[in-house]
Formats: sequence, C-alpha cells, structure tokens
Amino acid sequence: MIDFDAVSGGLTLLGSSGEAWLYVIPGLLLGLIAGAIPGLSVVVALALVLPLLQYMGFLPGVIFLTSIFTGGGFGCAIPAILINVPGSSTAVGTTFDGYPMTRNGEASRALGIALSSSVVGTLISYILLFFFIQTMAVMVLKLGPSEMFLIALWGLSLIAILSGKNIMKGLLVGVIGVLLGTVGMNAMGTMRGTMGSMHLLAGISTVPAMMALFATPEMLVLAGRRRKKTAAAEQPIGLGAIVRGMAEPFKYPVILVRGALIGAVIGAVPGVGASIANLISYAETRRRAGSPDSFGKGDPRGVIASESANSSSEGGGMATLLTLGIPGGAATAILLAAFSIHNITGGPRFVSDNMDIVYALVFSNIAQAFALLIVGLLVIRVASLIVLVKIRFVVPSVFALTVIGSFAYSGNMSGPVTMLVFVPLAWALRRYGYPVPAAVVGLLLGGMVEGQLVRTMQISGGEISYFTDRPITAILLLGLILSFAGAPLKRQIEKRFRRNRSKSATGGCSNIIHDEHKES
Amino acid sequence: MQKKRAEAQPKWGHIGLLAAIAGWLIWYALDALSASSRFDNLLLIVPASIVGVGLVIALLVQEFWAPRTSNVAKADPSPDEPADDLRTSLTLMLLLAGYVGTMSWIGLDIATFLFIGLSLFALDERRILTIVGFSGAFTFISLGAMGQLVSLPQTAFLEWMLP
Repeated sequence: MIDFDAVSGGLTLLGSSGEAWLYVIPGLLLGLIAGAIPGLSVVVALALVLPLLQYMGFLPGVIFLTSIFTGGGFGCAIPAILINVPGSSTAVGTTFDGYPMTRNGEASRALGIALSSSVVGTLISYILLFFFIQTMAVMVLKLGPSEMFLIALWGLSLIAILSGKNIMKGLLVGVIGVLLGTVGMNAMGTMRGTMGSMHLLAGISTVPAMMALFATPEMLVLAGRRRKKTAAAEQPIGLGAIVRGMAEPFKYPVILVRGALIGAVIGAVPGVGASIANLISYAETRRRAGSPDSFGKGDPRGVIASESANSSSEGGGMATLLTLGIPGGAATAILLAAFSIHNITGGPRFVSDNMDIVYALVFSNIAQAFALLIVGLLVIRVASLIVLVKIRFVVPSVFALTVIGSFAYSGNMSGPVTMLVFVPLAWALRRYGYPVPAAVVGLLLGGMVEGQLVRTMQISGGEISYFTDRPITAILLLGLILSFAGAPLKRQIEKRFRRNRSKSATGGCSNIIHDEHKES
Repeated sequence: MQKKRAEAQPKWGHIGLLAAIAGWLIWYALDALSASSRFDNLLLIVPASIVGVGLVIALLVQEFWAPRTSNVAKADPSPDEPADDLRTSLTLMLLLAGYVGTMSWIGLDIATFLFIGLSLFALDERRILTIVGFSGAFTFISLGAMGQLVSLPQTAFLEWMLP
C-alpha cells in the first residue's frame, strides 16, 4: 500500500529544498572517514555532529545524519579489508574474507565488491521501506498506550539483553537510563532529581549526555591501545581493480538479495541490528555454498554477504524508529535525539501525520546510495590511507570536539558540565562491561515510558488485568518474556563464529567480536 | 592455554560503581517521594528503583561469588585492559575536567589549545613542534569552522588573532 499523495509531497519537499541536498555529500564523506578510522566509528561521528542539527531544518538535519550512517556503512569495511580490524562490529563478517583477499593481493577488488554490495544493500532496504511503511503506519496507529508502553519496554529489554554478555548488567543499565530519562518536571509539575538546578527542570540535556556516553568511552579505550601496531596495507589501491570488483556482486544476485533481506529484517529488531545481521548472512551464504572450504581464505561471496546485510540493516532500523519511535541501537538512538532537538516525537502519530516527510527520507536515502557509489569510488584511495591515522591525534581531537559541540549546543556551560558528569559514568560502564547503548535508549525513552504507563493506569483504573485482557498487549507481554531467550541464542551465534574463525587461517577475530559487541 | 582454580579478588572498582549506582537509585526514589507521593509520580520511579537495587545486589553477589567459584583462564591481560589503560584514562579525564573548568576563565580557544597539547603529551607525543603545530592547527580550524556555523562565545584570543 502506497500513499501516492504523500509520495508526491515527499518529492516536492526534496525538490523545493536545496538545503535537503546540501548535506548529503559532506555526510557521506564524514561517515566514510569515521568508519575508516578503526575505533572512531559512525556512532561517534553522529554524536559529534548532533549539536549542529539545531541550526538545520528537521528534514535536512535527519538527511545529514542518515548520510553519515550510509557512508559509515561502507567506511567500516575499509579497515576490515585492509588491516583486518573492522571499523565497527557491523563489519566483523567482512574481515573473514576481505582481509584474506588483501593478503592474496586483491585489496582493490575486495573494496570494490564491498562498495557495490553496500550500495545494493542500502537500496534494497529503502525500497522495502518505501513499499511497507504505509502499511506499518496503519497497523501501529491501532496501538494504545498499554501497547506503546510494552513495545518501549520490549525494545529496551532487547537492547539490554542482547548487547552485552551479562543480562543483569544490561537490565541495570537500562533501568538507570529510564530513570535518568524521568529526571526533571513531570506532567503534573512535580520536580524529581533536579537537586534544585534550573538547568534540569526540562530533564537531562540528551545531546551532551549522548556525546559523553557514545564518544568518550571509545576514545579512552583507544587511548589505552595507542601503542599497538597495526599491519599497514602495503599494496597500492587501483581504481581499475575497484571498478572491476564493483561488478562482481552482480554475478551472485541471490547472495546479494538474501543478505539485504536478512539485514533489513534483523535490522528492525532492537538490540540486534547490523552487528548480528552480517554474521548471519555470512553463515547462511557459507552454509549454502557448494565449496564452503574456500570461505575464510578470500572468497568474494563472504564479503558480498556481509556487506549487503550490514548496509541493509539501516533501513530496517529506520522502520522501527519511524513507526514505533524505538531506536534499535546507538545510531538510531542519535537519530531519535535529532527528532527531539526539533521537538518532534517519533512514533505512530509522527509517521501517520507526516508521511510526506517519511517518503522524502526514503527517497533521499535511495539517492544517498547512488551518491555513495560515486563518493566511495572517488575517496576510496584516500580513505585507505586514513586507516593508518595515529590514535594519539584522534583521541584528544574527539574529546575537544565533544566539549566544543556541547558548548555550542547549550550556549552556556551547562552542556560541557553535563558532558563532564557523564564521562566518568560512561567510562566506568564501558570498563566493567555494561552495554552503554541501553542507558542511552533508556534516557531517550524514559519520559515516554512513564507517560504511557500513567495513561494506561488511568484508562484501566489501575487494573493490572487490563494488560492481559487486550490481545495485542498480551502478545507483546509474551514477547517481552520470550525475549529473555534471545541472549543464549545470540551467544550461540557468536560461539559458532569464534569456532569457525579459529579454524580458519586468518585468526584473531574472536576478540574483535567480543570487543565490538561490548562497544555496540 | 593453562587453566587453574581462580584466586582472583573481586574487582573493587566495579563494586564501587555498583555502590554509587545503588546510592543514586535510593536517593532518586526518596527524592521523588519527598517531592510528591502521588501515584502517577511514583508509578515508574519507585518500582524501577527497587528493580535496580535488586539487580545491584545480584551483581554484587556475582562479583564476590564468581571469582571464587569459576575457572578462569590464566591468560594474557585482556586487550581491553592493558596495564597503563587506567592511568591513561584517568589522566585524560582529569585533563578534560581541567579543560571544562578553565574554559570560561581563560577562553575556549586557549583552553582547547592547552587541552590538545597536554593530551598529546599524555599520549606519548614528545615532539614539541608537532604538539604545538597540531594543537594550534586544531584550535584554529575547529573553532574557526565551528564559529562560522554556530555561536561560540569566549574565543577572545582567536578573535584578536583573526580580527
């Protein structure tokens, strides 16, 4: 079902606003560069640019963020292929065959394969979103406050349960996030947790808090690793070989489309996203391959499977964010924060009232995928040098940018002070293995969770049986309980990959999977 | 990889973190209660705080119990925790606190320059020209570019240099 009036409205929005296109190329470049620097990641780049969004319109701002997201989707593959270090957990599957291709002297070919697979993955996910968003919008409009409360709780639980090794740590950090999200004045005018500060009346400023929670712990970990030497890619990157590599994924259309579908579906599940999608797609491709022994030794099908899946999960994550207002992970949490900067609440009401904006976002992302093809091709050689940038220059630069950004965002010292309060918390959480994204999502959803719960209790007259009497609510409640089974399932997937990885000659990825999941 | 019965101590830093979290959870619930005892004010905060404190207790039990009962691999230090990780992290956080604390006195530009320079030194950069050059270039470019996009107060020195 497609709302053609809204489609036309979306095209008009994009056609009439030069600003909407102005930030696409800078966003793609920023994402590519951030993804190419191991440890910096797209999430850090998104967090750093967040303060700029208050000076942009809503649509151009969100397009800027999605451009960074799209560029970073491919950017993460560059260090994965060249130095066997994925730019983020989303590219772990790419290292399995991408780096062996580099060792076989085929780095340019692998980069070309990764680029076109990323482009096709992004395209497919947004085309799916184009066809299904209207149907999803109609369905979610039927949800009441009890369902929205449970969906928010479910999403948060999934992130808490699936993004760390210890379920209790995930849940605790989610609870802390939700409670932090309720600090300030509630709807009845009661002030909680403000310690008498006027700066906290409207709640904790999410932008400086998110910059601290996402950007700084990664930098502190990187600082500790600064003396580790990375194996530099010594072979030259040739444009001709990249172009030839770009054509290769089209010889395997089934792998390409299957990876994109896996990514789009898994990307829509909070807490899972691209970091698991690329592994499942890789495993499925290897399982179905006629010659599975070639995997792990530089088989291009492995790169296609991983890259098409991790890129398409962006569209899946956007579907959950737009229709339910629930971010599936760190990157979509930042997108939700961008909504709040413009006083827009994501979710069913937003998507049904602003379908033209939603279609404009979809079309813009389809255009971004094509732009990535050109931008990626042009800057791939430069980006391959960026992977070798020295950590000691990156760390203080990111720190300073977070302070400057939070200062610019708040216009006074409250931004940097908020950031400073959250830095030791973020560092301690990261150090002891707590999934930081769960805290951020809790912080963003805390107010909404409380509001929906109060409304549910008002409607039901305080009857708990209201949750079980409504069929959709009961199903969601069951799903929430079943989601606790997700953690062992995820551990099984990771274990399987660690086993496969240790069998293969390339080695060393188990630590990466472990580390990167802690990061994501 | 050799395994042996662990004689590891609990992580006291983790225990400190859990104590701080429990303290905040209890304080927040009491603060909300003192602000208003209305049902809608406490509906989420009190149960969530209780769940949070319960999880803290469970994690504390795990922290004290797990090192004595589990087999822990005698392996190299985790790549996440190299020996100087803690010292570097604390140094950088102190520098960051100094940066934020002094920026309204000495100006954002000078504070940025000093923070970058001192951080580079803390991260083992010893070439003075590189430290001064990179700090100066970063301050000039980042504040100059950001100043064009958003209003940045307290950049007097940079403005004096760039009238």
